[in-house]
Amino acid sequence: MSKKRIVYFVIFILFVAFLLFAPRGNILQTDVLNTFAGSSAAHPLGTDNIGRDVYSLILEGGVRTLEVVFLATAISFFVGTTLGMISAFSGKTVSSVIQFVADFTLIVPSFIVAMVFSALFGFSPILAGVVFGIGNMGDYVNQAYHLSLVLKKQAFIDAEKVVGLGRVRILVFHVVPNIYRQLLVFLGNKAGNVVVQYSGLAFIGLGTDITNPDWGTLLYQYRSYLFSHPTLVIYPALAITAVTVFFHFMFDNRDAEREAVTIYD
Amino acid sequence: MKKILTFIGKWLLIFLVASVAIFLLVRMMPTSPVNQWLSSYNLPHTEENIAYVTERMGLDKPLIVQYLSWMGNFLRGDWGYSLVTHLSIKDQFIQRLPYSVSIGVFGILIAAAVSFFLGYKAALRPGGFADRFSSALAIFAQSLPSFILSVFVIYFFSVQFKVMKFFTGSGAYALITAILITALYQIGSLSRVVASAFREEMGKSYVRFSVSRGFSKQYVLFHHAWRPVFCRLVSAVIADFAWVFGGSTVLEFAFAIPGISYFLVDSMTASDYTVLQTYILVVVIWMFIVHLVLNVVLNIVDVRRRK
Repeated sequence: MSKKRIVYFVIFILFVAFLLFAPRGNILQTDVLNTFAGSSAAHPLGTDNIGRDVYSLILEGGVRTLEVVFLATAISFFVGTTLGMISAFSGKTVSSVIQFVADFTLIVPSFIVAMVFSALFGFSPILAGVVFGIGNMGDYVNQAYHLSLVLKKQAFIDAEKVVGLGRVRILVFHVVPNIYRQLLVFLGNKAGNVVVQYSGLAFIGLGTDITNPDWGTLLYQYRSYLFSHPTLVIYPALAITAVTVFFHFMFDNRDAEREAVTIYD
Repeated sequence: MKKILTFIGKWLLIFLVASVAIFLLVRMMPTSPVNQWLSSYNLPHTEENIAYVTERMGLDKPLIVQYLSWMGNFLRGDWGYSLVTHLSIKDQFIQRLPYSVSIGVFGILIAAAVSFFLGYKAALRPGGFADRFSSALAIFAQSLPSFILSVFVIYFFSVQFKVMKFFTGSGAYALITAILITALYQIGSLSRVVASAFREEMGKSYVRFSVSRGFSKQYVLFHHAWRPVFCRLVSAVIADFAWVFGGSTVLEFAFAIPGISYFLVDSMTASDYTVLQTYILVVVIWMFIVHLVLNVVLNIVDVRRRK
């Protein structure tokens, strides 16, 4: 791991710890005498249209967003990579079934599926995380498939097969270490996308209500106060943007991407 | 020929899986359509009423029979009536489809056209304005959800400066703005695809040979290298389309455009499950048409694929 990676990683851990453990007030507590209050010691980010503490709401929304991101990226990363590798190392039938599943998840818009699920079964971060995880899996399957296919042709894999190593062992100890780096770059992109998708879902708000303090829900509620009380809109918007930009730079490897082409420049 | 058959087979399978999935899902729903129907007519939920309506709706038959009759009716063009408004679902969809389709199609067409030129400029001068601009746009699109931008646009242009009417009048402003926002959100990533494809072609021997012979690189890139780049762009568009469709849902909602996704949100708030089933099938058909058209385009442009 490079120095830059370690710095990002530490910041990320601190951020998660802050979201989880920072002291906060009761998000359900309304205070109609004290609506649209400015920043104060009791309410660091002020209060909203029904006097709830915006700071606590944003923290709580952050926890919910992280739940979705963790669940979604974990599912699509682990399941997607595993399926991709299996598909590369197995027979035609299994391979084409996995390819079909991957295509299916790529074709059916996962946002729509998440919307339908939350309409049918109620809105919850767990459900959204699972749906986004499965919906974004296709890219990982394809990527892992192509990377493992290249590896499969190499001599050391053949040698291991001849020596008699089991398939699982080859995949876990010899294929995974060779492909996970490329897949991690993907993860940064997708994690940011999940945050955006989830906030969009909460913005539409099927199956949710204002007691669920998701950033998207907050934006939907506060959107009409953009001019009278701009901070109400700006705080959740800033939270979403900050998290996605952070994910982008955390997993970005621009240096690897930029290679000089000889005779022109 | 074999490729065409696999393509059709794959889509039939997708249609089948999607329709079975949504059919089973709505039957696992906590609220029953029978109660929904009775409530919409203000009828009491007595046992006789429930039994009568269940029979009339055919919900007492085995699941497989229900599925087959639903599919048969759908394919014959009988999409049923809404449980809540009792309007024909088919008419509703036909009225609303043009909005959703035009946001998706025009948004992506504008994005593809702009990003082809932006990517071309970016490839010619790495580190130049176009290169930086397209990277910035890509990060912007990834990090600021489109609905936040819509909220800002609505309140600046409509409430503050009062130059556009989004929620009254013909709704043309809302539609055009939604199309432009959809395009804006695709330009960043698509122009990165175009730029890296052009860079890749620039490394290939046919381009280097032509440049060495004295053709300008602009000429070579635009007259010879555009084909593979265009194919990469179309492939990227195919891959992005599901994402675009999800994104346009949010925009339809933010601008209150009467498209099919807004219709879905409306009906689901009233838990009207008949619309939901049809909606999923319409989405699958719509994605099929997009994939079909774009694959045909790819086959026309890319000579190598035809063999």
